[in-house]
Amino acid sequence: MAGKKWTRREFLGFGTAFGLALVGCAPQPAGQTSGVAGGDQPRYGGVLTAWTGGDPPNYDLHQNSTYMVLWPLAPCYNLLVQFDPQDPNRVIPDLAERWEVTRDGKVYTFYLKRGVKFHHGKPFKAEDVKASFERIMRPPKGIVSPRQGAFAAVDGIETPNDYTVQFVLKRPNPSLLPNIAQGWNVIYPKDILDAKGDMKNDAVGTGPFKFKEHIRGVSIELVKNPEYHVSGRPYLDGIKYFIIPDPNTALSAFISGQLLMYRPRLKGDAEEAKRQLGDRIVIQTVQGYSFDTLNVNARRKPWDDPRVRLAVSLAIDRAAAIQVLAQGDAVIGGFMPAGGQWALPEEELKKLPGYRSNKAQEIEEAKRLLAEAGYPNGFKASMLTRKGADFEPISVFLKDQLAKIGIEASLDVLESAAAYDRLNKREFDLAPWGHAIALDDPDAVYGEFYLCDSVRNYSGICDPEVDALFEKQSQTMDVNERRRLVQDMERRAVQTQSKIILVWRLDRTIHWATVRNYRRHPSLYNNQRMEDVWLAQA
Amino acid sequence: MTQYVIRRLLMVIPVLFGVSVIVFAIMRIAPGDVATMILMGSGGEGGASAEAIAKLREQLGLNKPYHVQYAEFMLGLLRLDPGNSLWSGQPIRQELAQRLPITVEVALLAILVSWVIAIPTGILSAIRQDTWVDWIFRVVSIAGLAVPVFWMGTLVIMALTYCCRWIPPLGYTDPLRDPWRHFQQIVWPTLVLGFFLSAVVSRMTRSAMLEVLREDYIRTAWAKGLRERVIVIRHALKNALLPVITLSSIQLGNLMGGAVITETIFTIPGVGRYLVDAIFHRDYPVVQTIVIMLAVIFVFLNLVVDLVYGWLDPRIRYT
Repeated sequence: MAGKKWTRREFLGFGTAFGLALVGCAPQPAGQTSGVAGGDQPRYGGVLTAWTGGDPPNYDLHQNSTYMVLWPLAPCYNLLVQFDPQDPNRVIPDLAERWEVTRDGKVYTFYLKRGVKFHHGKPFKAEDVKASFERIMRPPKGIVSPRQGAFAAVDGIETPNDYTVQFVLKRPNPSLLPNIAQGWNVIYPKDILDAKGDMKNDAVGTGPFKFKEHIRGVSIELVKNPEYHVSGRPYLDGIKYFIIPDPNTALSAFISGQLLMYRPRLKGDAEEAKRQLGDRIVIQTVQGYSFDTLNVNARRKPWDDPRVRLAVSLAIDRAAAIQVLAQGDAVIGGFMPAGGQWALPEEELKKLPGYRSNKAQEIEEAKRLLAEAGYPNGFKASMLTRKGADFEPISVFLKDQLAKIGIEASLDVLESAAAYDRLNKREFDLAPWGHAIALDDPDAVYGEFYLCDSVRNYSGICDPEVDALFEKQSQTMDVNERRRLVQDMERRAVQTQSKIILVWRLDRTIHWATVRNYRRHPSLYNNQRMEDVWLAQA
Repeated sequence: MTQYVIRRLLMVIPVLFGVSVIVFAIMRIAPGDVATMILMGSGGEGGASAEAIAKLREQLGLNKPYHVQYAEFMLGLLRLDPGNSLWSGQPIRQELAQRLPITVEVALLAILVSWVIAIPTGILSAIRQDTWVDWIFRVVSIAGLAVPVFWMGTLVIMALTYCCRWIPPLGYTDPLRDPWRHFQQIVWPTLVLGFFLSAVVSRMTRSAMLEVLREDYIRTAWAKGLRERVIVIRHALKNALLPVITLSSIQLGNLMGGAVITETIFTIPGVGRYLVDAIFHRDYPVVQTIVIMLAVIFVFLNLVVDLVYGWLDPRIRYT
């Protein structure tokens, strides 16, 4: 072959130069700003780069349930009241400066902030609160409201003047404030709702950041609202959410400094980032509001037999589940979030069947129950399994656990859309699943999952006594008395095996140490506004 | 020739009709729907009552009879307006206009990279058959065939992360806005895909070259005393390229809709990701539009390849 040949030296030289050129163009950790020195004094400027796993289907928070909508849009809005970023169970003012509750607990009066403007210039008034919540509570035609049920106790909303709103209730409802404070229930401008009917293509709120751009499949960008009604906020110039479906890429983006904030699903990913970056990053771990569970379809035989359901619960080693499913980053729990103000104490939980430490004895008991139910040699069952690294391990773990009492489970692995379809149509025997809740509130949790007509009562188990206790606690304004009722309800409900709870996961957000003043809320859906967050100089 | 082209173009009509019916039917047969996906969330975090799902289905027009849905979609497509995505509500045409150039760019560059790697190595392997050069290239190309592209992409990302604490800038930047940033974003997926494709192209080039190099006219060329470069490039390679071009055209067609994993790993908003997201979300009109578009691309690529045959091999004539 004729022509100039590359010598080895030339080839290596070119390769090195090319590689260095590419590396040399490496961006520094995003969001850094120049100027004022760092330290612990809040400083202005910089862009926070954060992760989200996919494009929001639309921008209407009232009509959606996925974090992919809430995270990038929450900073554009305010709520009427909010959860205290520093105390996850405490409700504090937001657009309502203060509120009063009548002695009978049936009228909540909110006094609104003055001088607040929406991003399009319209002043914020009581009519906006009324329009927003009426839309959530009684959605007009064409509007879907997944959290409508949380406001069943509300009879109507009145606006005595432009800066006062009254929620008039049919009965006392201590869950009203936490439900209003949910991150989903943002205040929309009435004029846009009236003109367009929905907010699917608009992101106009009163929040600290304005919507700038959404490049589908790439990013969502927000910029500082210079007219924000909270003095001195926000600190950041903007937030950029990068849409990264692949967790490996997201972790790499975090380690390389392109993302300043990430929420890894796996504990191992957070640890890997820590190994790589040491004290340059912070891992915030909280007892989260997500749990792994087994739904048992009591509409089908033999799952309609309480002995069979109890046998399944007895067979499952929760301590092993914590290690296998969450690498030790989880705790046992009942239906209410573990460690929360309504949960049964752990010592009491550990005495309940299925939670006891002597598993050998529990397995013997489970086999005896199965024999009594007519299945001395066990039986075969199918396990509806969502495809994906988050879900398949739960089924694999449970298959192994159930084999100990002779239940031979086959995995029916389906991608999400098909699995949802089967779950919603209740076409399954066993359905291991992962759920997340928005609130540590009995009305929210039981209302969603454990009442006879709950939307997500996938097992179909209906205990009228649980429903009666629910009604009673839901109207009890005294916190201690309510807690007693809730725990009575919990003791009874957990034993129905309406869901067999495996673990309550710890949840984590990792961020670069330059990101200051961010406090992770146990719920995925709260404290996502970032108005207090600032970036220190690296 | 003109008659041949017209005939081939007319054949597109029944092909596209068949494709449209099949993809429409498959999407409706698949369990699950976009209303459930919107309400429950991609991660399944939310809950949805049967009532809410039914309401949203009605709102999205999914309760209409199938023949009405099909007719509405096809009429829109004929006007080059396939409507809006059920998932996002955004116009599909606008979304494709943004994504298609990205996919085309990555696909063409990947094919180019594969040729740059594969054709010289294939030629060298063939003309140095059973020497150490041939063995090295064969081992590398077989390794390339054996390594899945998603694994290679992940390895590249991990290697860059752990060795350099650097990965390509996230997302996609318009080349006219910032060419250097654009280059950094495009070069890695292009190299990964190009290397992956080069394995099979290299094998094909080697086989075709070996066959051609044994032809009488090549022996004649050697006997005439022509230089090796002239024999290999001008006489052998041109004829050996026919199967390589066929293969590359199929690869190009596949890349137009199938580079999804690479697009996902390197966060490139191309058509592949759009298609797969749409399948997972049961976003019927998006899936239908992209599949039909891919069918059109395949049909035209095949036509172009057939016409190129005639240029490469004067013995081939179309009537």
